[in-house]
Amino acid sequence: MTDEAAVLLRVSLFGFVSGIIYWFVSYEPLGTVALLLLGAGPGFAGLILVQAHRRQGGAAESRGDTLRRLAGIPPPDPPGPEDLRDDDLGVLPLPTIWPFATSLGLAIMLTGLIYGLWLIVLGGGIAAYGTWGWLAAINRENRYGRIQAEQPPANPGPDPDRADG
Amino acid sequence: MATTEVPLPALPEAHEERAGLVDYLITVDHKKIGVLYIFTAFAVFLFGGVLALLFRLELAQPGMQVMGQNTYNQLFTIHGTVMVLLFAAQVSTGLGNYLMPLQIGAADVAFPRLNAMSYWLYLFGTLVLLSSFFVAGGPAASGWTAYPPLSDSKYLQGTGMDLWIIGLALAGIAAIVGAVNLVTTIFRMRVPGMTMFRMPLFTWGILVNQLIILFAFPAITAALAMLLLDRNFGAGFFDPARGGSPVLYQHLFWFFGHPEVYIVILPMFGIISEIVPVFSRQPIFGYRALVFAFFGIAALSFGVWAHHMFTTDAIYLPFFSLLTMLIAVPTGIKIFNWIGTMWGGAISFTTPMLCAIAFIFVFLVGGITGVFLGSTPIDFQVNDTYYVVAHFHYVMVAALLFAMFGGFYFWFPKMTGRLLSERLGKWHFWLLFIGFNVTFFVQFNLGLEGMPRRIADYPERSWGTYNTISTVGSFIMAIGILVFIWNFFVSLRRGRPAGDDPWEGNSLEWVTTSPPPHHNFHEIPEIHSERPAFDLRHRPPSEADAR
Repeated sequence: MTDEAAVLLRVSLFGFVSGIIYWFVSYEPLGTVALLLLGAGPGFAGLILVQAHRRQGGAAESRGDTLRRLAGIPPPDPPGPEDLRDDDLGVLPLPTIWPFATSLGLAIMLTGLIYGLWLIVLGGGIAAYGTWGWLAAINRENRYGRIQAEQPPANPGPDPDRADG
Repeated sequence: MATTEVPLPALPEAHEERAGLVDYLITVDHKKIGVLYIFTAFAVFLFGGVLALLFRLELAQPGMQVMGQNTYNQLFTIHGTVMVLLFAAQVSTGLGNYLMPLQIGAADVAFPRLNAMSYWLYLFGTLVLLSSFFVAGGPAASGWTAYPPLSDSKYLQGTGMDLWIIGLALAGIAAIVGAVNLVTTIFRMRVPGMTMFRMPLFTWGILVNQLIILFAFPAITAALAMLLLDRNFGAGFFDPARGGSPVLYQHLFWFFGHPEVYIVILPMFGIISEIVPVFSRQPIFGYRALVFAFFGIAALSFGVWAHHMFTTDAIYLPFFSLLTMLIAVPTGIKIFNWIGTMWGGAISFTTPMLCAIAFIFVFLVGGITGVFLGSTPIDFQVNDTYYVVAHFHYVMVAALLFAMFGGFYFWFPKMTGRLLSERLGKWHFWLLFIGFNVTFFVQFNLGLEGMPRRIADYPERSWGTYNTISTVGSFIMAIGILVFIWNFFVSLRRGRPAGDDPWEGNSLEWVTTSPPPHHNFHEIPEIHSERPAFDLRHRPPSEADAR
């Protein structure tokens, strides 16, 4: 289990335990449902993280270690990496207008709930166009990336295996 | 070639800077989005502050008429709304956006475009809400809690209330979207070696704060949707005549509303936990205890929502009273640890450190008065009086402001490459500290003498002196804020160059340049503890020479 999953499962445990206690001391349904949902949501996310960790071949942990981690006593931190030079620090996306356009559309659409259908249609149209532009921009960046990856390096240098030099 | 294995190269125009406003309109850089959040939230704070000055003038003397009763109701409603929901909850998202990826060694957040969308939704939500000043009937006048029936269409007509609902719904969606992004970033994008228990405490504060947002904001968004349906589409969720219940709204509102206090304050705990060790020249005392106190406070915050509803006679009092008092335990641990960090340290009283010490003082006052309110007999006595107003201003406003300004003074050099003026900073600090306490300490007395909140005028002459003192204090605070604004603009242009690490900080952001490059780091040191910048400065000479 990872520390991230342990964080979510702890929140979940709190939600379930306090929800059950709350029901038996108050018999008040709304608060009970709210607390049980607080248990269910993070619990679900935590279990997904546990499963993802297993699928990615994460190190197996004994039951004792799992319980200790859940209780907030994780095993000692591993030493830091020796060399970070080979680590990929990520590729940054390009600036884009589409998040602005989509948000504007959503704002107009919701305001239409007060002022009428025409604003909902207008806002929905802008939001849909913004979403389409957003996805197209991502697609373009990914396609460009693939093209770059599939192209041979610009200056590959001499191939030592070639006899004719 | 297996293309999926190859990291995508940046497009050729990726780092082209555009001019001015256009750059900010299309940016997906977490630092610029952070700056946008901070500026917008600060503008909202100034607007809310001006509203507060106006109704403090109205209250300065009994019988004084600066505005009508309805205008007074509208002003305190919008003041509370913008300060709690559009300033306090958002400024930490701005600081988190800017600093958290730097502190965990990431090049950006997990979902940069979604991050931009979150900001724009917040801005449009704010604009929609404030546009209610320009519609017939003016803005909402129901109080920031908008309890039905005060907020339903029978008692509050006009579109002002509806714009209030839509504006907050947009800001709520923005907060949820932003929380998904920031939590994912912390969980998935830490640089190798940065384990959870090596994260800086500010990043822990942001993580717990965003987790609370994820679990609390759906409740208020649902309540707002139900209120909108009640007002405009004939639903009856909160109307007893149609089988609904106004108490249902209160449950939903406070299931969000009390955790909201910790949404606001936990990142501020994180800021204080960064400032205190740096200016005490000591490692933080009890790092893990502080982390677990974050979680203890967050968990308990979901179990105390109905202490705001003690007088409704619809809840089980001992449950909420006990849990409310329990919150003092993890909070006390934090205060103990900050004092433990300072104990025996070489304290330098710079402006950020003064703000941190003031934070501990005002939060202690707010916390102790909160324990009194957790006791039901006392709460019944002072419910809806100025005692409650004073209490939550000590917790929500003073604590937030001192931590936030402390954070501004601390990280301004990182963001701009220049130091804020210490001389003006001290003027700002003392004016704010004196002004705040003059404004709000007397309100405890007003509350104990029975003055109810949310009244535009009051007959008893004995309350007049306290109210006059309070109004004078509010203007002292305002002068302090003006000094800060002056300091900001002067230092931005002519401030002393800061260098990369002017305070000899502990966390990773102090390793990179000031301001940081687009991709945050040219190189990242190996992470062996929660103080990588300190480790880098104090590594053995032989190791340093080898590099």
